[in-house]
Amino acid sequence: MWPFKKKETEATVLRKLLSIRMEAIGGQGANSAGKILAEAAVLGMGYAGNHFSSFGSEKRGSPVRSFVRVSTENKPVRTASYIKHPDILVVFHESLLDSHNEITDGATASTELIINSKKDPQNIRLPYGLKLKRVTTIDATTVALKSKCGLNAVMLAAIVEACPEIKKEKLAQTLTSYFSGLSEIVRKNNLDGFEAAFKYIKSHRFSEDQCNREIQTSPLPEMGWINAPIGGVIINPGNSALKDHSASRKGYAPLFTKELCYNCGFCDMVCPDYCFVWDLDPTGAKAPALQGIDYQYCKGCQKCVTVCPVSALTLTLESEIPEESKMHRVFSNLNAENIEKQWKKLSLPTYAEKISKNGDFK
Amino acid sequence: MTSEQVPKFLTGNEMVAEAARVIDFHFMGYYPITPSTEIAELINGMKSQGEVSTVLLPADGEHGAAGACFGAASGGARVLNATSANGFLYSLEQLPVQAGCRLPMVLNLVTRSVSGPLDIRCDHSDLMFALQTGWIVLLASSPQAVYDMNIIAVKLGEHPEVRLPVIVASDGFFTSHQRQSCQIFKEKKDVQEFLGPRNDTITTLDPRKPITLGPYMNDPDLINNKYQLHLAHEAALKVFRNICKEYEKRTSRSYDPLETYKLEDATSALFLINSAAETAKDAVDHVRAEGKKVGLLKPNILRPFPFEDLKIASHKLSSLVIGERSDTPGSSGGPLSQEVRSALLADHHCEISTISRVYGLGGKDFREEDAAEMIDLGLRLTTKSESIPLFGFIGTRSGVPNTLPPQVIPILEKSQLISKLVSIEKLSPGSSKQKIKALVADPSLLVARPKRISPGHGACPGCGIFSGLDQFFKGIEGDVVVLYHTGCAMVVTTDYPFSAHRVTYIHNLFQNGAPTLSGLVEVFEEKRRRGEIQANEDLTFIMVTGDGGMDIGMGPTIGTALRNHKMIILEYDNQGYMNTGGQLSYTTPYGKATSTSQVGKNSFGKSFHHKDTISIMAATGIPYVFSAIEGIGTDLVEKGAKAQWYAKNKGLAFGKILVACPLNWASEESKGLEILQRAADCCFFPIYEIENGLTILNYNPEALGKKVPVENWLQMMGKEKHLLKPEYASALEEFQTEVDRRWQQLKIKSEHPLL
Repeated sequence: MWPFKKKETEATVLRKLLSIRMEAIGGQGANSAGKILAEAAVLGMGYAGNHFSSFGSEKRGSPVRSFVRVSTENKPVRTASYIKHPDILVVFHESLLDSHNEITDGATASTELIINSKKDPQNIRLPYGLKLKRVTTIDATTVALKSKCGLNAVMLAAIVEACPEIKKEKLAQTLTSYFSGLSEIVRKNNLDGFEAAFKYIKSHRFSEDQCNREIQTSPLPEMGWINAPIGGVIINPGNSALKDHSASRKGYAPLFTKELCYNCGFCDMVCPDYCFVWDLDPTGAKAPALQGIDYQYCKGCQKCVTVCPVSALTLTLESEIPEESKMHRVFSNLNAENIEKQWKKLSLPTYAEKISKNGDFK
Repeated sequence: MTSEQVPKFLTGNEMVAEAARVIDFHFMGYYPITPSTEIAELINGMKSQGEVSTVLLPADGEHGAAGACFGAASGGARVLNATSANGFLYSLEQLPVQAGCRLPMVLNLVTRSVSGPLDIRCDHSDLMFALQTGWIVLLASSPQAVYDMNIIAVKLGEHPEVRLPVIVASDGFFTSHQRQSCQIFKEKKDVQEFLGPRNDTITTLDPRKPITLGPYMNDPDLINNKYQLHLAHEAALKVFRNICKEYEKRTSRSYDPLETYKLEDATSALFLINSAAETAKDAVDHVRAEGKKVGLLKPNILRPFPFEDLKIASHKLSSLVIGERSDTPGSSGGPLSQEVRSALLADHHCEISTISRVYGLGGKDFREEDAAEMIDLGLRLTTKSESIPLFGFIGTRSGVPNTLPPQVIPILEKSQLISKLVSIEKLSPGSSKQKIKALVADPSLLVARPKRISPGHGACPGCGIFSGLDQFFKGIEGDVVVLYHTGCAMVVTTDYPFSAHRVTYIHNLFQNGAPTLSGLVEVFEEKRRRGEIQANEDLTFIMVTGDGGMDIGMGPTIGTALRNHKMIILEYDNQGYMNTGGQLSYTTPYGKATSTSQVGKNSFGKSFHHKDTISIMAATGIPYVFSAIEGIGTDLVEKGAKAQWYAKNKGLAFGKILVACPLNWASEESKGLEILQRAADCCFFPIYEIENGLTILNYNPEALGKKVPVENWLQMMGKEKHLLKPEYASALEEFQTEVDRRWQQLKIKSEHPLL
């Protein structure tokens, strides 16, 4: 077997039906990326295809999935459903792997992963020990900041690199026409970002025995018709505290310098995400003292920075925030380990066994 | 007679807009609701560029939208509407009125699950309510079909033998937001030629031929009117067939009342509608590849129901699996099953076994594998060797018995909520216009107030709602029950199975929150009086609404205020319907660019002035009304404390806070406070209270020498700054004049105790 030759052949064989799933947070441009990619395939390359995205409400910060199907044989693409087992899985932010671990749902050993990360492909750890045949990383956040372009323009470069089905020039053309309503500078930045991105792409192909053969399935949510309280009631309110919104930040976050702070409380007054951590004396004898920021919740809006009278809060590149600043928690008495255990008790292995035995799986 | 077609790659909603472009409707009345909203947005975009001349009426709710369409249709106009789910149900009352009056129009129903719990994704629970309305119902399973059916709908509804309004139903998201390869007419004139002119024998716009539309009609006449309606539906099936044939000649795209797929030699088939049927075709192909004889039945018209076609098509089948994307609880078979079975039962020789399966509710994906499972059930049914339940759900999940999700953060204790951070001082009569004064601790101490909303909610970065709400809640002592209208604050805090509310929370749809909470307030008082709740139990009832809820819910809110219940209504005004993608609301400022008031060569943005909700609410005579913005001072906290005092002692308190929406104002996330301050400084959003009918200005930028022109505020928002360009000078002047007029009026009110 000649590995090089094999690799070459694999890269040039066109898939009859190419399926791509993008996983992102609203505002990162996954919907546009899907649209541009599909348009390049359908109107640019003349293939049959479809594209759609699954939305929550129309806001930044909620999970968005974008789906593209392309038939290189030009068979009408009729299936309207989500793509469960994608050929290519695109993840717009590495932190989604932790905060939204369902994003790898349905990936198979033959799925290729493209992920926005500074890491080398060999160092990407996927949920549930998933191992895929090819992993591509690109530090899209940095490239996008540098080129002043959308994250999606950079991610599209990595996707085209992985899809011999779609020609780079066709995609560049579609990218230009897609932004035709916007200013010259926006169009140029996006095109430049797209072109520049190629040299930052890092790919690694794993040997077959390194890949999982089983289809990965995320743990299903714990509640179903047997145990979900009737009426759709949520009986453990406040549980949104478990959520992680780090992926909403766009590269910057406020940095707190305790020495400069005189605890005026202005930041707390204006923070929409309630992420300031205070040392409170229950007797009220000692004045509240600000300890830090809970970055699990901070979405990086910087309102606190604008009201801080003494520059105890400053705009900082996220990568420059020291680890010790990230230790503060709004709910210090939130016993993470305990909750983890309680939720884990219901997670995949035992749960899937149970329901498959009951014959109620689906 | 073929008409040239051009290829496109568009979504279902985009295809409605493309059809509207060539149909050239006179009028569209609408109210935004996901996932149909885009249709009005797209047509608004065309209009702002002068590509269509359709009059667009943004109604105050779907009920109003349907009324506007009814009126427009009575004038012999070509009329369009688009809605979904609860919007459709809110307009439902109007639909039989229009069918009974025989006024054609087209309504795009982009299907979505009917609340509650609220779900914005696709199923057919809204569509099935359409079956009783007397409207024709066409089904569109792909973006292409959406386009074609809209054009066909106009001709069908207006046909002299039919004269009925028509619904075109397509699947929310799966079709409405799915881009597919499709074709459209190259020339508008070809469509116009196909449609011909609209001919009405009656119109409400000809004074020389006066008519009485909608008389009072009891027995013995109404039954005759309904028989006419029945005859029109009978005729409609034949007319539909003929129109589709004519359409096929022009476009080569054909639609039968009942489409069959690989049915010729099939022994078992699926009966599915819309996008699921398209998905199932791939499953049929795969199962056929294994040598099994299966097929598919897919109606393109649901009212009138193609009974005869179904009988003929299915006579060789021995089993039929009916898929339902909605259930009729208690009927053991959804609405489609009832239709199909009644058609088959009418044929005495029919021996087809039928079973029903509910699938895909609330947007749950329907994949090829699901269709294959249904096909398998049908094949097993043909063997008659095993017992298969007649009815069931596919895709449910059982969960784990005897487990419940854990409480993850501590429940708020009463002692934590009663602090010395705020207090109310009664003022002696005559010393001030105010009766009471709120004493509030410094922000450095207010941080100790536990937040009633937990972090981890999913609002956009820089969203002003949550800082605004928290400042208001900081002024509230003790336990509260909150009710949130549908809107941003509701959606981002309660995505099941998560909730950010640490206090008891209720949602009701946003035309009806105020009455809902008023019922609860009254029952609380009554139960306390009966001793069923302890006399010392104390709850404050707070309704939270967006400005959208104060449009569609204005009437019920005014009713609630007139009854003066002991509760608070707090409106967070982000100046538009932001949760559905930034459409105009009635509080949206003049000239603002929104997705339904786009700026183009024919439009400068929103064309009418912002609603003065505070004056409307003050006119109900409630004891306390205020406006406020979030800030680093304690004005809003004080107003929270005062609102609570009034709600406990006097009656209803209403407050309106302006909150930043960086996403739909196109403003910087960090600049929210500065923008709000400028809104106050330019007197667009004055900060004041109306306490027992007396107006008190809390902030007078003029007196402080801080008043600025509206430009200073507008320039900070991408959706407003176009008004600073010379070509919009007259719009800007119009806006400034109105802002100044209202400010002068407010000042005079604040100076005179009788105003």
